[in-house]
Amino acid sequence: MKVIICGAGQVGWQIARHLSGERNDVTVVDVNSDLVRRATETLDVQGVVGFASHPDVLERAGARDADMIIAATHSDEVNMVCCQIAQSAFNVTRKIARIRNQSYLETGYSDLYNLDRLAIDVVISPEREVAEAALQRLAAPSTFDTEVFMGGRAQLLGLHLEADCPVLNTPLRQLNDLFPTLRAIVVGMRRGGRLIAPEANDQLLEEDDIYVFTHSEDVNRCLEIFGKKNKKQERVVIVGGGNVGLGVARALEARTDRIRAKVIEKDRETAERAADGLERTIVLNGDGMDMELLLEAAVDRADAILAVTDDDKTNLLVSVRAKQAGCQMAITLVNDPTLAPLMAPLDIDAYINPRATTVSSILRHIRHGRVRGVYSIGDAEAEMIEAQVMSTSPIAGRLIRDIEFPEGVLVGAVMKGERVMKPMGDLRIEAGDVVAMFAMTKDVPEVERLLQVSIDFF
Amino acid sequence: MAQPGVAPAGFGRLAEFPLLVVLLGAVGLSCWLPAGHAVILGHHRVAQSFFYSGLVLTILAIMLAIATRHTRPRHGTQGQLAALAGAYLVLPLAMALPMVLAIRDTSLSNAWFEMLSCFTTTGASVYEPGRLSPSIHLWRALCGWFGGFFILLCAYAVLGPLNLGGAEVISGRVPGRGESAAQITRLADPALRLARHTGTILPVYAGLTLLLWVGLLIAGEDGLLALTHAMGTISTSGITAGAGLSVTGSGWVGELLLFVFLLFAVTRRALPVRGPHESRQTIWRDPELRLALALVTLVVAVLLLRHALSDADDTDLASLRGFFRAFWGAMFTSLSFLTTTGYESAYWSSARDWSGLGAPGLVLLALAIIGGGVATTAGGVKLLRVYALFRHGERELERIIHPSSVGGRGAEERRLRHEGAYQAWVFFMLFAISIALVMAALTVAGLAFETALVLGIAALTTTGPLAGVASLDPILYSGLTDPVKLILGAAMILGRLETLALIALFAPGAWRR
Repeated sequence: MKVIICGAGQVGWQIARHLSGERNDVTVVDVNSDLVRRATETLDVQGVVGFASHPDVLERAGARDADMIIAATHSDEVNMVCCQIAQSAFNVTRKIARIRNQSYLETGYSDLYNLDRLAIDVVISPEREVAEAALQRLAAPSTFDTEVFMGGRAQLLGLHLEADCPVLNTPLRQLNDLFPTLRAIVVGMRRGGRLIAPEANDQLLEEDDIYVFTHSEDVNRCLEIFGKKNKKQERVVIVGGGNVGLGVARALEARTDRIRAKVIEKDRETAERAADGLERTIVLNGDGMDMELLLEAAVDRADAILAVTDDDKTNLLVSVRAKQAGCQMAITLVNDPTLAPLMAPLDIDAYINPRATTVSSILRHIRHGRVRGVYSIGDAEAEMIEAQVMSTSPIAGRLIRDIEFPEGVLVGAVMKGERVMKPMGDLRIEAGDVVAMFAMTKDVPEVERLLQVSIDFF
Repeated sequence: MAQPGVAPAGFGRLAEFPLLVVLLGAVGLSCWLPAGHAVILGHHRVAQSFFYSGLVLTILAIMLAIATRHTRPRHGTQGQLAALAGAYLVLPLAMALPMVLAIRDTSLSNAWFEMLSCFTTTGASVYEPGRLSPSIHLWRALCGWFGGFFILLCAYAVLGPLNLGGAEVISGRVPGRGESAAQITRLADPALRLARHTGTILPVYAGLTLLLWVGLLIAGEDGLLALTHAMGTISTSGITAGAGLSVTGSGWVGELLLFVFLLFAVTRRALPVRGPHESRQTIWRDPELRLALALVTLVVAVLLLRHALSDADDTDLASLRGFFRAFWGAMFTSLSFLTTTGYESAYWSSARDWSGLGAPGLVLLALAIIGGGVATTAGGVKLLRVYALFRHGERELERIIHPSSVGGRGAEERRLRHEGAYQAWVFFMLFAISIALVMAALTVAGLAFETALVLGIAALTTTGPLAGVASLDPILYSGLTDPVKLILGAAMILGRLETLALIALFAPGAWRR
């Protein structure tokens, strides 16, 4: 497939990396020649230097025979025009745009984006994605990673096992016998920094990070079994009142269980805008690093602190300070993925990588076949893929135990109709079912083959 | 006329003459309305006095117009405000002319006080209602109506642009100075602005009065009384031709009609005219309307709940009928005094009996001090200023808990809470000082403390009828000495024009920083 990616910034580069790794014909367009050179030198992609929305630049990038255009420059307007020109001048089939500004995203205007108006098939909003990710983390405070699948009926939980976990040193095979009604399965395990898809005989050890795929109704039970308590969050302090912080605070206000949130924002104007957009939430103006201000926000009695400023170091330090002051839990926004290993020594409970969330949501739309959800795990080490099985697929109509899955692939759940089922060996997968699969990155093409990807779905 | 440039049309023509001359002409012409009325009724002496007064005033105005036609008026803050203050000094004298002629045994001071109180929409009357002929009642109502229109026009065309009369609370800038935009090379001529606003406001104002008049007539009110009440309600003068303050004839339906039309004195947004500093809120979210609603509800609730504490005889009063009478009486009267109109509900005595309070009139005194809406015909401190102070207080309380918190609800609201509240506080203090000064002057002139308090507040808030209800024994204006009338007259002008406007007029240097 031929893909043009406009904008070689962080998001653009990550998408280019993912797509080029899957043997697609990728062209990167950016005004900054350095960024283009970095992309062409490190990845198997072509580069074009130029203004992304200019038709001649798009034509040089091969828009005439492109299948897809992804507009991820930092300007909303350029992204929009880019997609519109790709449609009007070159008739590109699929157009994805990243749009940040909340006004463009408001639900009242959401019918803006269709072929007759603004020709954008999919709108991706990093801020909104990050706000959603933050809310998910807040909802499951004892996990370090969560994502919802199958329309909210299933969840992927990332759990860090500690000494008090009651099922330590138990082979996974036995877990099934111990809890036969539990609709959950361990799909991934990170031991000593290496992510693997576990075998049935593997045991759970202390200090392991595991990924559990579970039915939504079994989330609490599942957390209990692995020694986690799911307690309610009542007081939340949000540091950073930009789009992300405001989005989270708004969502918290809209919830029925009265969560009391406080927002700390350094910039006066941004703080005023945040205060205008919120009803009950108190907005404090000042430096989030200031201990006095943190105490004014009652961080010592807070259940969680959410550090979502645009500066990684501030986020990390604020989280550490808050934890030290007595905050129960810290969730931190980190742009730089190489900072991820710092989380454990700094005692930060969870982190959100905006790029990973954005990339995940863009990937969801560009995967072949009837892929409905893709979630990138770790530093693009593995993916959780949710897809519908088609009648032409080699796995349709076969029992799970008979399917030759690669070594690094595990089935997390199967949804038949509305029912989410635990994948047992004697379960037959039929056409129309939705499967959620954990796949190590090297096995993703094999998974795509199993899902019988064909070009006629584009 | 052969004026070079664009010849202004309609009301614009009048902009060529000084404001005072135009107003004098208008008073002269309107004299002929009661003259005609008196002719129909057969009161020839009254008709004569109105006709000749009208003739004298009109001729005077025409002569003055010819003489002053090409004098360039002084522009700037002082010129405009001086014209405004001049209107309050000169016009009542002109209006008193037919009164002196028509009423046999009256002094000029009485007639002047009567007309000043009408023109400032105060509505305090020194005459027994029975002593005046119907045409004179019409003249009083007309002058009150004219005064209401004049202050409304000034609020839009003079005070608003000069950042006075409540506009300073909205804009948060220093009062008494217009917009200082360096890029605007030519400011609109104040006279032209007056003419343009007359064109937009007068039809609405007159139309509403007509509507209310017709409504009252349908409800069964006597023709003249209905017109007086319609004019008194729209202009918040509270002038009546009947014996008491209450609405008679049309009964409860009439009161309901007046109640609805009093809303035009609560918020400027009720008037279908695009005014200064208009925002696109719906009228139900208007802070002044909400505050007025809260205040009226509070007063009604206090008066009704007071019943539980009172030892009033509840064999008769405790009936549902008594409750509703008391409810409506309290509601209508409190809104009427909040808007500084001063009509009393026919059921006000029921409310008084129900609550068991000896003198709930003091509550009305407090309501009158709060006053109606900014840029309406109402007087008092004005609801918007009270609202700004309230919001500011609320925000300060919030800041005690969270010292670095940021207030929400938008930039406009933030400015209102901060700079607006500051300006409101300045005005509030000036108003309190004026009450003290007027009261001091009245006591020096020989009035008792309580009488001085009631009369002083009645004059400053332009709610003349307060004198009749606020204290236990009604105070009669007819029994006052001339010095007291003079002081009250000055207080009425002060209350009508607002202290800030007078300070801007007399001490312009103090505002130039």
